[in-house]
Amino acid sequence: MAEEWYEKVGRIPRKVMYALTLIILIVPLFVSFALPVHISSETRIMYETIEKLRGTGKRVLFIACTIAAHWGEFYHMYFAIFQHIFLLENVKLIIVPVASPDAPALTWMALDAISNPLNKQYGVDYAVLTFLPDPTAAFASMAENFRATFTADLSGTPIDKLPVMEGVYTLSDFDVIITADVAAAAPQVARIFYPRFPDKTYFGLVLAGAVMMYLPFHGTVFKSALVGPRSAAEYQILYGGPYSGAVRQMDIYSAYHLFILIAIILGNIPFIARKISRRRK
Amino acid sequence: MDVFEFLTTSLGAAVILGAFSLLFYKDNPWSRWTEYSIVGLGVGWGTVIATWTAVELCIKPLIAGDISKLVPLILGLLTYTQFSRRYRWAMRFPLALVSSAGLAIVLTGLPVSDFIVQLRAIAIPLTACSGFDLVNGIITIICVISVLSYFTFTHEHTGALGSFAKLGRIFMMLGFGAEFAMTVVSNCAHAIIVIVFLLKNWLHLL
Repeated sequence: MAEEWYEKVGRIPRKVMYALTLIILIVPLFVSFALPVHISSETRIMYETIEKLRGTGKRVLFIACTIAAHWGEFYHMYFAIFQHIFLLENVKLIIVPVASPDAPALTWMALDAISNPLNKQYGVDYAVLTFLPDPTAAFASMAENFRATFTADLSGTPIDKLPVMEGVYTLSDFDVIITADVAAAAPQVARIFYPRFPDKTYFGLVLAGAVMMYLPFHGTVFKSALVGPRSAAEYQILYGGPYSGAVRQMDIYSAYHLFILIAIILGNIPFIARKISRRRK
Repeated sequence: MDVFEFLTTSLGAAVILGAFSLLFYKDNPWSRWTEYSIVGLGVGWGTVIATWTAVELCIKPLIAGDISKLVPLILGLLTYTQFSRRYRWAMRFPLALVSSAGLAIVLTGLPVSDFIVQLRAIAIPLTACSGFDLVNGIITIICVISVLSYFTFTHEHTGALGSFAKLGRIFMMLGFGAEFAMTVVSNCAHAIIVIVFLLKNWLHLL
């Protein structure tokens, strides 16, 4: 019995699908479609909150829990936040690497990549504090006594010698708290920080694949979040560059989403066709 | 490009191509080398960071005279007793302390974050909503009730309860489907960064 056409569609070799995926991902890097990027309200809320800190001398606490395997997504989000803060006059940034052993190196990679038009100085305008390995203990200790949790920054300089740490004793001394990666740290922020400091503004940087971990706390504990490179691209458009490459990559995402949609339809054709054919028989 | 940069980017490219060879060919020595290298480097890096942390947070302050750091040091060392059949029981102390302290820390905030805040979020004043917010509010309420009814096992899922349970299952399937779609998008981002690395940093084509 000759094979039905829809059975052939259902048996497209996996390697062909991989090759097509690769082509779909590469072509938009050379040919720009310049599709418009819609700014979501989520990204706008986060941008406007940080923008309001301009010139106030207020502080942002950035808790970095990212692992290297997720850097493809997080790089653009780290870049967007750090770059925006570096473009704002008189806003202090304090970064704490927690849980992931990769977080200190990744944080420095992002800091090295951004431009510094206002000549922000390490120790005066921003600092990377020492790495804390256990997330629960780290968050509990920070909530209890932020100052006592850290004796030095990542390079071993005592925090008393860092001007950026002047007047920082508890979490109350920060105006905005941003956590990346939320999947790893959302429960800690919600269960340890939020009950003690409910009036703080919490934001998250979320891995697109782990958004379910963040959703229970969305709009309740966290005011808003950036989810994946798309949100990072939106954010970078809002502050008007410099860009990390996320905006340029939006064409790839559009092409890839279209490809996935076609693949879903193709994958379902044999299933539906088989069902119809069985009914006819 | 200096020699060191060329070597490091070439090594990175070799690892990426090794991983891709598994997709386009089959399990081969190159892909296995890639896997073992990544696992080995991950463990090595983790060990270095863990040792550095123990030295910075515990041993250095102890040498400087902070005797209180003896407690975590001894508890940490007790975990190694698992390698001795005779003294394995001693490992229970640090384990018990870590798990109980962790639980205590989390449980104090859990009622607020996981119950009160969540309940407050679904208690939407529908009369004050309009447009999309009203539609979203109604969907949220139906979703919560139907999913909860799916997990009600004290009554047979027939009649109204059965219909609601079915609706709850559809909502959950929508959620899981969205989660899976986001995972695909997430993997796309990881693929893009390695392709950009190959084309830009290694081949200088971009």
